[in-house]
Amino acid sequence: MNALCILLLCLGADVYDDFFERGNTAYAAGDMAAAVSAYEELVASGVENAEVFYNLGSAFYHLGDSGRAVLNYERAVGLDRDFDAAQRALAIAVAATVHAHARPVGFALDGRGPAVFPGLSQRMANRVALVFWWLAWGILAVRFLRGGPRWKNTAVAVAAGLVLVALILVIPAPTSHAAVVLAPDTYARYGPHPRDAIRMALAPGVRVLVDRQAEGWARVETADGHRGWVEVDRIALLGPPYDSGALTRESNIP
Amino acid sequence: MVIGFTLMVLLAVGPAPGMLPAEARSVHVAQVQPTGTPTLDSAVYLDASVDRNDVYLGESLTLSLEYWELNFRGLRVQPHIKSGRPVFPDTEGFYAGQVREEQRDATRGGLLYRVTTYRQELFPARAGTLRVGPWNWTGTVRGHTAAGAQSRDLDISTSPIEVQVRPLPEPPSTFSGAVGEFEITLEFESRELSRGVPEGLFIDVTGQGNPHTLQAPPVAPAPWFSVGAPKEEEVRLVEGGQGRFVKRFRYTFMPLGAGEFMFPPLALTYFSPAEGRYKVSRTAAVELTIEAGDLKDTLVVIGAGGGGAGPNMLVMDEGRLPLVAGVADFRLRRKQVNLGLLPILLPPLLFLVALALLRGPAALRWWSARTQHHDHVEARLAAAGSAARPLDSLDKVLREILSERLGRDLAALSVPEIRAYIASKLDGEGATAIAAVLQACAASRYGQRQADSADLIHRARLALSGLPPAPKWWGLTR
Repeated sequence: MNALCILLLCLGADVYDDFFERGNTAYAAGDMAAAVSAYEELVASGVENAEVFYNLGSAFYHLGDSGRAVLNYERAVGLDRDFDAAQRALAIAVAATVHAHARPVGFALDGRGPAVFPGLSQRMANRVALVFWWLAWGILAVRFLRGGPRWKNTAVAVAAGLVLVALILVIPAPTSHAAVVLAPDTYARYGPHPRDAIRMALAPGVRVLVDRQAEGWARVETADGHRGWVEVDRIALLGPPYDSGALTRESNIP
Repeated sequence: MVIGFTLMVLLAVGPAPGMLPAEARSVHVAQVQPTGTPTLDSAVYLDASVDRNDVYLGESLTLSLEYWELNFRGLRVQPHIKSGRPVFPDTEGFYAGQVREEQRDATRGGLLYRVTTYRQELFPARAGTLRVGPWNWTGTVRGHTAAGAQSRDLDISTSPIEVQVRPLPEPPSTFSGAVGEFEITLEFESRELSRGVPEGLFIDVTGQGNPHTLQAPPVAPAPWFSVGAPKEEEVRLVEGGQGRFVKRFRYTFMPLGAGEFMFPPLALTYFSPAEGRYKVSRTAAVELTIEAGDLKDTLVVIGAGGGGAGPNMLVMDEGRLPLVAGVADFRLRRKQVNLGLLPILLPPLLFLVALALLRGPAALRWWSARTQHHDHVEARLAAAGSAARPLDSLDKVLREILSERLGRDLAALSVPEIRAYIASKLDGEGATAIAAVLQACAASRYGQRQADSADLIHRARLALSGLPPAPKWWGLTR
């Protein structure tokens, strides 16, 4: 089925419109499950539009799945920070979660970003660093091939400065990925094993940062800085490939 | 010092010339029979007081500062400040409100004084013991005495006032930060609401406390409406309210659904110092009727982005969240191409290729100045060896290389001079070897002794190998 959809999708943008329209029609008719299915086909085919994630989040919201609603609204906001409707819907979905926890610092599609410029995504920082690196070599090339005597020292100094900034930019903050808890009765434990003691309960929709993974477990950090290990299938990463998280168990209580 | 005559006149005090704005002054007309004896020392008094010394954090207290100035025709009081108004005492640790000012006449020690009272609301910003003051005044008093005109510099201070500030009890999670007595009311700009048409929503907080720390009450989101960020509309004092104020917040209210709805009550949690506990003021729930409006196909544009062009939103009935009606351009997720080290290694590689193409392969040996120096010497010695007069050429080449390396033109110097010079620059063995080669070349040139040119070139090569490389940037020669 998926292959067929992808084949159809490959035929042109009209197919995307058809799927999107199908989702909207189902949503308007109150068939939220069909709406979710249509929107998820679009996501699975590689579509990456904030609007699609927004509609998908709304469908999940009305299905009562606040975890996936928050997840998809966050994706919509991450792709388009000026998407006011998504911001409002996200606030509504978060308010509908059990604890309405805040978003952790550094919670973004691109992770935490560089250590020295936390506001910048790491991807953007790497791009800037690469530009600086190329620029430095370009300046050195001009200096050796054409530069006059006075320009020599300046060129080398500028190139060295650019390389230094590039190096600073690529030093990342501790690697972390944004994720949202999807499953009910998710418990964060002190260690990556079902026998480890439970540290805290995480309700669907809680936004966390994943900073370590080990054998089906992920170490998550909440907005208030508490850390614990949860099974990876109970959470979904915010970034690509945009899985909705296939749950296999109802609870991770042993 | 007693001023030279006793006041026994009936003073009638009227409104003083307008130095202050009329609304800020209150001048009392009084008829007083002064009986005391005015002196320069009694020309000015200061009083400072607060209405309460034991308050809660954030609770208001009133600081009263009274400036007493002897009201007498022959007296001139000149404060040592240019503003004409006393410098107020230090109120560190308090959030200070506006100063109210009023004037009256009063007697003190049988003398008539003009009293200016400054009242200021203070709000303690931290718990513990806070201090107000002292309040200082310095100035010069001049008056006519029997002995003639006299003047005196006065330096007057009040005692500092200590205020005990109690911390607030453990606050509830909904605490707004307001301390005092407050009421909250809600008002819609219009009761005729239509879906998709924004209207103003006003929340008025009336009460007594610090208006500047009062935050806008939160409005819980709901699927059938959205509200924008609150804006502080105005803060005004209630007339005759003794410090009561009204602070108005304006929200943009956007109905997203049509039908009968109940706008939920809003709550403001504040701390009441009078009762020593947290209290909640609530608005009543408001029944709203939202018309579907003229929106054909229920398509309205809301939530426009920063650029002004937002998505078309399909407003739904039955309290459902609005939907994006259509997407102008579907974007496909780009595959993450892991280029690895290529983007990093490519620039230096391109640089080396460009260098090799434009400057020749030899330029790539830039990392070794000594190697380049060696190649350079080798090439010139080889050229000298193949010249028609190899020893003459060798002599010339040697002098040139030495000149380049040692930074001095040695072409015109004699062999002993060269020997002496290079001996000061190089170790003795290298200088001796080079001088020996030059000496042999000279001897051969003037026919004193024939020498083997190949042997001399070999000796020159060995001697020159000890020379320092050319002092050029990165070892590159241009």
